[in-house]
Amino acid sequence: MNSIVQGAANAPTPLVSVRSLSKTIKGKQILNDVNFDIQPGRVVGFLGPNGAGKTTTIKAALGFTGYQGDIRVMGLSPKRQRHQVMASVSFISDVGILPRWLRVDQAIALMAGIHPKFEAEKARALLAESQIGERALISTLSKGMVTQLHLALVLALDVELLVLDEPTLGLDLLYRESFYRQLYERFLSESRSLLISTHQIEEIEFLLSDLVIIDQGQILLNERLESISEKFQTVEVRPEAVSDARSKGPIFERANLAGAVMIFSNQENQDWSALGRERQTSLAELFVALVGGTNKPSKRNQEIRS
Amino acid sequence: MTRTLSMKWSLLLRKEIWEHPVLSYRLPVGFAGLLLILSLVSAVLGNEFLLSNSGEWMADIEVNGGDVDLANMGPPIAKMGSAVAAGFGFLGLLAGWSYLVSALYQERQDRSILFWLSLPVSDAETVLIKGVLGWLVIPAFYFGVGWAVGGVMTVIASVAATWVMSLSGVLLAAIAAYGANVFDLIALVVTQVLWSAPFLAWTLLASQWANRNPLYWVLGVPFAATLIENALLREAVMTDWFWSRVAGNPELGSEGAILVQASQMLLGLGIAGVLVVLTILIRRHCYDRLP
Repeated sequence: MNSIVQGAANAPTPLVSVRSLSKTIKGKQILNDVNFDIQPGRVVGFLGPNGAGKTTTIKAALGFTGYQGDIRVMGLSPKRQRHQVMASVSFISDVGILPRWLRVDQAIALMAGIHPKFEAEKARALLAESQIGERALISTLSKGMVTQLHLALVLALDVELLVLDEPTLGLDLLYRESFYRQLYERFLSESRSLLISTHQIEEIEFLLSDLVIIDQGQILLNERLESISEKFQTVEVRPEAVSDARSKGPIFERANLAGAVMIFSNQENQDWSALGRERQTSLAELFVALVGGTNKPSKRNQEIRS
Repeated sequence: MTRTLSMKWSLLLRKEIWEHPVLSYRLPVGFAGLLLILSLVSAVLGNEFLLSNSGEWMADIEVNGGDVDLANMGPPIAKMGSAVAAGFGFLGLLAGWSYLVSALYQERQDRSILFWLSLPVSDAETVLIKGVLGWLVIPAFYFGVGWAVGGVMTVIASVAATWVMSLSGVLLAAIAAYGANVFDLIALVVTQVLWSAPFLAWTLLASQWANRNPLYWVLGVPFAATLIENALLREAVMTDWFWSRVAGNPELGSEGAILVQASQMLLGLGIAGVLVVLTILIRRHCYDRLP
């Protein structure tokens, strides 16, 4: 597994640097020696099954929870300097963290008075494009509108890093599409970075430049997207070649009507034409391969085969 | 940078007031409105009741068993107004304490704590703003409202007396006496606020610490400490000192109380300061209590 776990790039000044991050709650190891960096201008997908440690890692990186290890965000320690970190980082959690008793205009006034990098006019302009009235109470808004409002507040901040923890959970497809489109058009730039934790990999795949996969508190994969296609090979294997393909040690296998789909790691010089057709590895399949398969075809896949 | 620290703190205070409108301003303003309406009603109906059909005064007015000098009714009327103002001041202390009980506990009960933590506001700022609101701003606002209401009630009663009894000079005398009382009233409220500082700071700490109803900690821990101290030492010196900060000091109303009790005040403020620092440290290091 260690061959898979490698640092992304070795750029000199990462926005976020996480080293030897560990956390134990009530005797249970939640995070175990987590290491990764986020470089300026990168969009990092942070994936993992439920309970993998994604939210705990994010909370630790923002100083919302205690931890062992060393985390630096813009060179600051979130444990001791959370409020200084949050001047350059913004955060959207799953829907519903905006206080329900607050009105929209109060939220804007509050951000304008508190946050040194907030532009109230920009927030109002963004909200003018929506159905959200400035005098509306947040408790009267739909889930989608609350997320829209939170996004407008965040997009009106001139920050270097935006952290999203399951930001579109419970939203319908239209809101989700609009959310990620706005992020792409209005937030991303060469100097700004994005960390997204989500289960909906397909929806963020077009945004990502890096991928970090975590499971049971440990990092399974930490790669730039361009190197993923070099390291992992996906082959649509013909039925008669399934046995031969298995002998090459796939890390993932899924049966289908036309034979099987298999993912191999670090076999880029192989000629796959004798077994079937090589194609681009999808992040969803890679995720299942690493988390569900743990370097070997999962039990479920074996059941499918039998 | 156009944003100043004072602007930030004022916004944080306003945020607390937006979040707690009933305790912060609706309750005293509503109560004040009710008192004013009752004053007007009693002034009008009371006068009608006290006057005979022929328009002559039917009642003997006695205070403490003695007749009231009707020509000098101004100061007694002003005293009634001052009592209303003082009452509002003490109600403000109670409201401030009630706010502090849940100030740091309630914010951890829903996920909006993640939003507040995602803002560039330090733990010290959060704790101090909440402390200042409960300890100073709410009592001061209540007292201000009470003083205004007491003044208006003084005017209503004076006008009613002038009108019914055809007395002259009551209104001016009452207003003058009411104005003169204000410094005594402020001194009384300020000394009570300072006196109760350790108890209010303990309340704030308990609000941060408690995982369940913080009232159990606010009152339960001192009560348990009293029992233990009594059992072990057969007297309760420390806990008596603490409870005196809860009940208020009966001597505070007396002349020169601030100077006489200055050392006790300073000790209380010092202990309150230590408790507030502890509250900040607990908030900073106990984030694992997040929802």
